[in-house]
Amino acid sequence: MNRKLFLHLLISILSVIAFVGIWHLFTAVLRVVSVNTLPDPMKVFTSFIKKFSNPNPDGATLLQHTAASLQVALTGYFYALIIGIPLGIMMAWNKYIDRFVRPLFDLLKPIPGVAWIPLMIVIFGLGIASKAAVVFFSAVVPCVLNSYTGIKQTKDVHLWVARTFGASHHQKLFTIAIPTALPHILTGVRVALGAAWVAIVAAELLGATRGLGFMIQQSRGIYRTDIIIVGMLAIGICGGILTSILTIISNFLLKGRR
Amino acid sequence: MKKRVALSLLLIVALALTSAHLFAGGASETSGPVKIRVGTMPNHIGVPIQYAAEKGLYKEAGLDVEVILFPTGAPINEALSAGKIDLAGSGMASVFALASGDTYWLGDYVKTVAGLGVYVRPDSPVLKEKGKFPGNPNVYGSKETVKGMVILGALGTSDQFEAVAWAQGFGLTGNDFQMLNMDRGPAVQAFKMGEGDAIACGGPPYNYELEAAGFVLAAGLTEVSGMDIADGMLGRKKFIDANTEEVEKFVEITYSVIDELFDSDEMLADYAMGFYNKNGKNYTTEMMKGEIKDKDYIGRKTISSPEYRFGSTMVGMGGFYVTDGKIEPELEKNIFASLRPDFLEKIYGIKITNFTN
Amino acid sequence: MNENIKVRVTNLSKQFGDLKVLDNISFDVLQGEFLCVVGPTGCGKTTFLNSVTKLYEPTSGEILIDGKPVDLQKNNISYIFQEQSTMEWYTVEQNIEYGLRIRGVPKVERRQAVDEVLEMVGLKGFRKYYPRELSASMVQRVVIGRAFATKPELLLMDEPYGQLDIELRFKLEDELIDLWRKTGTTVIFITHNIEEAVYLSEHILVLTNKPSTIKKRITNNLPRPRNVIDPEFIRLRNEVTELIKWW
Repeated sequence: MNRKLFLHLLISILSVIAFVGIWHLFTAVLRVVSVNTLPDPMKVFTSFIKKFSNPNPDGATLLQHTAASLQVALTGYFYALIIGIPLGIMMAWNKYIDRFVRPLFDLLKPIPGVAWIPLMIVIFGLGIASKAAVVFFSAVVPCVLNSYTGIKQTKDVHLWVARTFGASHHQKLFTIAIPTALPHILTGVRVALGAAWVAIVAAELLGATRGLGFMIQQSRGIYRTDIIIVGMLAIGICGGILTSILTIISNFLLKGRR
Repeated sequence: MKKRVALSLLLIVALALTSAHLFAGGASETSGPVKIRVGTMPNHIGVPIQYAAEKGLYKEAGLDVEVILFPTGAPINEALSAGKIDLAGSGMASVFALASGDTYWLGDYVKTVAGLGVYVRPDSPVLKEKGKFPGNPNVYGSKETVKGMVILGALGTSDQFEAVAWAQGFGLTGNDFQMLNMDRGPAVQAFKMGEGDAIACGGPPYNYELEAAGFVLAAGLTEVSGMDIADGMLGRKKFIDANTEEVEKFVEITYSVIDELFDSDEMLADYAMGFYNKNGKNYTTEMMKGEIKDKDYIGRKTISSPEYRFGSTMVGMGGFYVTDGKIEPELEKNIFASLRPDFLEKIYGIKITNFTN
Repeated sequence: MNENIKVRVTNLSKQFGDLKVLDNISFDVLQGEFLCVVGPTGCGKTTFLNSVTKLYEPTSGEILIDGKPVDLQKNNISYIFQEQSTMEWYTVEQNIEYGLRIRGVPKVERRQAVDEVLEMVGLKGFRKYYPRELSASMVQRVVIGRAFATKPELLLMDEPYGQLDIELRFKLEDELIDLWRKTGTTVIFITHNIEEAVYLSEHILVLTNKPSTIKKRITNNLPRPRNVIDPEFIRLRNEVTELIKWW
């Protein structure tokens, strides 16, 4: 059992080691391209460590950029959750609301969040609001869709049980439909987080004074590919941590289920 | 079995077809003259190169030149770094390319004498403070009024330089204000709409637009930095070392255009306006006149004078960016090493002195 | 009106489009009675129960409980469905108290009722378990527990043991009889298993094939505990079987 776990862990680590190894081979050893075009892993690693305390070349440390990105992303994400989930639930639960909202939703759904950036900048200016709005539009769609699908999974037999006990419409929604939908809703919450994180980086690339996307954009054209990669790594790591936190939360909420 | 072979063959062909262009970028074609891919911008920097290309001057000399236009210097650096262009006519951003150690500086050819600087709104608190900038009493602002400002401008260009130089004069650093990264056109529009506290102007035609809108020049670039901003020519070391002859011809022809245009403002105005407007700018004769006043092309006359120092902008800028943290200190030596006045020395038959700190 | 009549069904018909499922059914269920409804497969037994609880609106006819039309908000009815109906998001305890919660019973009383029911259905140690952690028979007990927790005046059961193996079914049937005797609730139990009907019931209602009408109402006075190999038991079983075959 333990040996198997160890083996699996080893295989997982191997992919990372192989990747870094090939990267090292083509950069530090063979020098296929200039160090400015693609720095070697060691250089990126030292830049990564240095960036924790060094605001150069973009004016803020890695943690400051990360905090800035997180703040905006989580703001937009939070609004997406508190609007998207109830909206999806209502659409699935009430056919009049569905009929009313659906045409508009179907029209806006295929528009990628990033496409909202220019419009949002015109409306909200360059501050936190426009970027949070872009995050919102990216994150709200998976919230609505998954909540909707989740509610639609509600089993008739459960509704009948509630009904024979004399449950009101309201009680059926909160004791049957929403608990049934919860796994789907939580999937939506996770997907939305990914979308939010992608959107914030894209939004920061276009107009920002701080944030990981800004840091990457700043490092373009000034031969700081190492900082660009540091930014990418930070984005990956943060996304990973946020997803893990959500996984823990949803495992807790879905206790006792598959 | 046969099916599988056919399928894999098809796959290989498809792969070869789709990936061929990925690797074609770096290598030059085999037969005929070497193809020189030159990146530049649709502004005063691009004028001589575009002119020479359009009039067939490079072709006459047996060069195969392709001109590729970029909006600013930052993407030109990226293209140089990726080996997608070989030479470039570019501005301030070139200093990062030189610091990388992968490029040579071939010559300054156009100097901005006015139009660069930080503009503010007429009601800005900055304008209430004057005379606090060491070395230049005409500069507006103070440590207190500049600190925490939001300044619009394009990062990695002279916009950022002038804003930082201004802040540094008050004992601040580039991290004491916020630079909101925007391309120049959108930055002007945003500033007009009330975004930001100040705008770092990238020179003509934006300075005319800002002045027309009633905004005030708080700090001119030359005033705050004591430096001329000269744009010029650079290229990838690998390419230049392998094609010295062709590069020399290219430099020679480009400078001959400058010497020619330098002599006739009218001809320059006519050509440049057409070039700009074709690339989406709306230049009026007035603006063009202003630009000719604000920009001096550097040709034989300037370069031959004993006071001329080769690469002064790049070296000065490099020092500035090292202080500001944009360039790592150990890379500064690359800038000195990148200066290649020998092309111009040979073309003009003179001796040129490099700029030193 | 007879005080002892719990449910009175009068001229009940149900039609789905052109398909007539129930045709003019009338019968009474006495207070505290255990009534089994049997009939050929697909004869609309479930439709019949769903009409009683108004999950389907009857096409015509009337169903009265204690002389009044059915009102699920007021009448205390529990329904055990054919399909597995535990709520997988609730623990055993939460499942059992579900009906009480819906009716707004205070927490303390709920707790007491749950304790009783857990004891009755033998799930005392499993209060905090989730349905998926339990065996099939335990899950079925949770459903039964949930139905009894509200102390229903009327308990409807739609082939609740259809999916279980014989041994388990016998066990649960005995438990059910026990609970019924203890609580004195009125039970309508639908099954296609004649032996089960004879084993459990006080009365057996035999339905015809679609459109269903009542073929016969049989009184089952066999003494309890009943023995499936007792000749009397077998005789009654055969009688019901003949009725079902006879169409």
